[in-house]
Amino acid sequence: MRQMIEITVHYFAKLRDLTNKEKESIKIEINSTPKDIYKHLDTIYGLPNNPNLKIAINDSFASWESELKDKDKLVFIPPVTGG
Amino acid sequence: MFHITEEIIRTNNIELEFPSSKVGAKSIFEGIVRDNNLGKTVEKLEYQCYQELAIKEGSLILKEALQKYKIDDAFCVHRIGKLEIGETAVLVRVFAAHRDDSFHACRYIIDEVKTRVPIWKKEIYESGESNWLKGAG
Repeated sequence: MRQMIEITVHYFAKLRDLTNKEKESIKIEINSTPKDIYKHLDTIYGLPNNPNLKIAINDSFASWESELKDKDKLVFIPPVTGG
Repeated sequence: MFHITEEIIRTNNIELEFPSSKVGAKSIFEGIVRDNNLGKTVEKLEYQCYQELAIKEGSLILKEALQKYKIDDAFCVHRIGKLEIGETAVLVRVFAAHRDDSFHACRYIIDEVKTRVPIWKKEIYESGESNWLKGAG
């Protein structure tokens, strides 16, 4: 059995409305990627299939293929609309 | 300095003192909440922000402007929360020796802030409906 780790996912804008959560902790298999997590969350919440979403891990931009570590903070960043 | 605030932005509240006697130009840009978008009547706006990364990215943009243009100082503040029509959502202020650099740096900062800083805008319409804007992505 693969080792499990716990990460926190934070939601903003449309993703916050869809999940009805600001953040949540989830248990995932070690070395899962944001891509794996998004796929998993999509089965629960029905998330938008948006290729323009960006990724942040521990408050720095990261890639969809990054390997997540225990206690990581993961954010899916919708296209920004400030200003 | 890049800031996020929930308070009303007033130009005279912002630190506007000249950084040195060499300054000959001051440019200020303010983005203001307007009452319409794409044919719909907007009643108010709500901004949400991923604060930790917004401050990091916003500060990086100001640093880039300082490297790219001959300016003495750059400052930006973005408001979050619920905003009424006519209120300032974002303010950029640049000091430089000459107007060209001051204008160009101001333009660079607002353009980059709008496409890179993780802040999102929700329009709340007269009809009671609301919508997160899609952005350029």
